[in-house]
Amino acid sequence: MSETAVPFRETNFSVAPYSVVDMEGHRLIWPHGGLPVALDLAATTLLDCYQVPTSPSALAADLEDAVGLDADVAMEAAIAATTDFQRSGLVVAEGQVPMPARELAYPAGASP
Amino acid sequence: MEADKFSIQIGSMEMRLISESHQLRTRIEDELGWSIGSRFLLKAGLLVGRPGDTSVGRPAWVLYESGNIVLRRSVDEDVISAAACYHLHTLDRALSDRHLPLNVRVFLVNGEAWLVDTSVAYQLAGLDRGMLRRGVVVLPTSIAAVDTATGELVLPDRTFGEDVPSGRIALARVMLRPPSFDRLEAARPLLGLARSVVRTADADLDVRLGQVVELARRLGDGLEVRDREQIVEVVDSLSK
Repeated sequence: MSETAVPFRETNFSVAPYSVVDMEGHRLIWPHGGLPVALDLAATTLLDCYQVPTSPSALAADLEDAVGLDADVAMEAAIAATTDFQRSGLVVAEGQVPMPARELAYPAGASP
Repeated sequence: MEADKFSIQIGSMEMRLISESHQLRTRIEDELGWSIGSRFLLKAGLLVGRPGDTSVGRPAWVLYESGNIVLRRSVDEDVISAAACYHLHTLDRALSDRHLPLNVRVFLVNGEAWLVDTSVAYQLAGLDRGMLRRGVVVLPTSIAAVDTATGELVLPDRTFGEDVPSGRIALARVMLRPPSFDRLEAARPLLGLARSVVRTADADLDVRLGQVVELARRLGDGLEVRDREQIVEVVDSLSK
């Protein structure tokens, strides 16, 4: 019997290890498996939702309830934010591991 | 000439060196006192080559960092191997003390230090001699150790024959490119600085972020985020 892939929106994500410093109006975050990033307060709030394993669908439902967004808009926002977080190394999908720090360490790979 | 390929260990960091000059291996062993390894690593830290058409003049030796940033160019093999040792020693010192290690080019201008984005300064190879005539020293390294409590560049005590100063020099300007895809304009200087930090596998990122914030506050307007062309223009003006 073949396994069926869980759709992105139903996949559970949780925060990866990171270091953080709060600045006025934004948060500087350095995921241990990525480069430093800056998040505004809205994005910071969304990221905090992933402190417990959560799916973009569940996040969208929270946005509908808490902010009163339309369902489609909430889903679009949740998927966009989660995609950004995942690319930055801020969250990891259930069953996956963050990029090892040694892959990001100096020196950089040789350029062509 | 077949290139000499070997690896070295600096703290927890392993680095591969590829050199057409066999002098480099000897100087690392004799002057730095480091062991040479033969591990094959995917990341190259330094490359010493002598590219160019040998039928026209004397081909220059070139010291590259990670294959694309020119740290020193000279027809004199001794100058190149000395520059490589200086860079490696600077890296070793920067990673072994409490200071913030940054991956930047270093210009010494009128007794002050300027730190410039490496991705911009690689274009300025060959201008170092012109700058030197105007009293501007371009260090043959892409590493700067910064004391964030005082806002000073901390230079290593050994120079390996390079005509460069040692000791502490006040930072006057730090010019970096804006981080890609960043939408938060107010965060750009801080983020640019954080992305210039030399990342090691065992780095305490909480400490590093604290140092980044401390240095940004100390530099104030001296921490600038500019486009590539603007930085090139400013640095280029140092040689004219």
